[in-house]
Amino acid sequence: MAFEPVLTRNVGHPEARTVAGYKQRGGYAGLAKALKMEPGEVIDEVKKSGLRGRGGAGFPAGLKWSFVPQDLDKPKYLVCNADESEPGTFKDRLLMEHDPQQLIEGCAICCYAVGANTCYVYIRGEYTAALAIMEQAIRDAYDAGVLGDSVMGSGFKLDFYMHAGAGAYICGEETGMLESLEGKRGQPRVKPPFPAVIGAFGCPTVINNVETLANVPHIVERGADWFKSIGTDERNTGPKLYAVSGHVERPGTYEMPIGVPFRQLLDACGGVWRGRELKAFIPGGASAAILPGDRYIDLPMDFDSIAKAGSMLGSAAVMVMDETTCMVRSVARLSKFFNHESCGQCTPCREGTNWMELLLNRIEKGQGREQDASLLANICTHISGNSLCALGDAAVGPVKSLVETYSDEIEQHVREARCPFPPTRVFAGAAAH
Amino acid sequence: MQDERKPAAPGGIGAPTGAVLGALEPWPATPPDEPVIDAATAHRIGELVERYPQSRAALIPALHIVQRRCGGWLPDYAIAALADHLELDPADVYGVVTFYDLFHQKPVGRHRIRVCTNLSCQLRGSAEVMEVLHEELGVGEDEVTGDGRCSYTHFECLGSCDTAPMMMVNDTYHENLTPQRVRELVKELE
Repeated sequence: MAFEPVLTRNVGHPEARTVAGYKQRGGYAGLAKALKMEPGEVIDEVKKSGLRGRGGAGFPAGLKWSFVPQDLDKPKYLVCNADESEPGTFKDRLLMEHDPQQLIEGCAICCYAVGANTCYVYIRGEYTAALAIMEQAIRDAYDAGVLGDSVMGSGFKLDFYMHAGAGAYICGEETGMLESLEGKRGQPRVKPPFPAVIGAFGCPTVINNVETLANVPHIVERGADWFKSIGTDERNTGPKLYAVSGHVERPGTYEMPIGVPFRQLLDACGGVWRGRELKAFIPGGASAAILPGDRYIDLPMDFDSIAKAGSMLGSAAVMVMDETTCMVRSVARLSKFFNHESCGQCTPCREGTNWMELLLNRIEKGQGREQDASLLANICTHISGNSLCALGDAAVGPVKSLVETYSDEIEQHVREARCPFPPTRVFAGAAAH
Repeated sequence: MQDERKPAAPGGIGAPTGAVLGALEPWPATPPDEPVIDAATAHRIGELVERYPQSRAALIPALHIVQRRCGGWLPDYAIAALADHLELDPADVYGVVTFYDLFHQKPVGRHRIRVCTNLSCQLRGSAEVMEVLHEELGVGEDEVTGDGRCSYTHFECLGSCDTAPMMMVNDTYHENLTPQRVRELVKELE
């Protein structure tokens, strides 16, 4: 059975950025259908579909919605997570730039289902183009009666705003995002209480990723059974955007059924660039453990298969590394990132990420000591599970896999007191005058 | 078996959005002589405040507006003025400013260049982009050229990994860079 693109079907059709153009291509049928259903039925349908969060954690979306208490006399909010700061991830930007109405429709259905009358899309401040396109699309949706006092004439009221962040990875963590939305430093909160009960402005709040919400109109329109017919099994359903970068011939966003084997994804990207061999790949962004290419070439790219392999699907940011890649140099760069982005609240993460970066740079420069590998492993142990949010554990992901899978490379750096790999030069004669 | 999919956006996803960027307001060259929060700015902040149940939620969007007005950075007096306007403690606002990478507390060039150097870009030549910028501009990272024209800095992932290496000049993404293209882009900046 051929797979037809679902989430990216409007890419290449700029007219779909307007309500009229989007409707012409079949849009807003899901919202129209949802508005005729009971909110609880909408939640049930999304639950039945098996849709899991596409932002990283993979939490079942319908279940999350069902946690919002319906008996409280408080406003409810939807905050759409468009912070997309996981290194290697660029799929949400594509969804916002090319099909903003699809996201608005998904958000509107979610708001109707949980009884929220306000939606904020928290977008990272760097995405200026996506922000401008979204704002234009929102104005158009208000003018067309899709947003505002009576969504598509149903009497359901929905206000919809973009909210730009200012450059902080931690604001992609859901409670860090809420703090930032409220105008504060984006330092994650203690959970519980969970945002579904006490979220934005002290009120029940659903937080979903852009891609998660973009799936919703299709689930409502075509039904949970259709959605479940795509994918590996009951726990891994639906279409998935894979953001492939690094050493492949054609990096890009690829929409495929969730669970596609890595080999097939790599082939779609034209294979490893410059005719080189595959060394390793990261299946789910900077937080995921690195997998050696030879062992996992046929790995199904879904939540559970990748977890079984000791890594994670995360945001499905696939970074490919060829045979010339120094793993110490690569992981050192990721540790630099986590050190920079640690919010500083929890000591194990704040200090641990700093030491990781220092140690890895030392090894890469040829100044490593014999005990550094075990010291790195020790730091991983002390960060894991010892901080409020997942950033600390995320920082551990790549470092732990380096120590466990590529210990020979660390040893070689130390033994030879230098990096055994050539410097990263990509352009022939680059930087030459 | 499922069919393979072609890239959703061959050739990079930045290209089709350029036209919209033209709608963005220009960056002023110098801090204004007039009050930081003039009537027009106050009006814009007021509109933002109405979007939220708590006025403080408008702080980060308001900081973006004020920073733009001050030529791309936030002098202390601007932070104080905004704090006063939103009835917040200046130290509190200062704490927010220092938390976020897009807010600057030192003068920046008229053109601000941010080079993504995270892993996907590192694998495809971001170090060479940084070297070319150093050569062309003759200043180090985070320094401003003598004529106030440019400053550059390395940045964490900018979400354009499929078009690596890339950099952001003011509000615009420049993708699939080569050393030659970086040189041309820098020369085009006035």
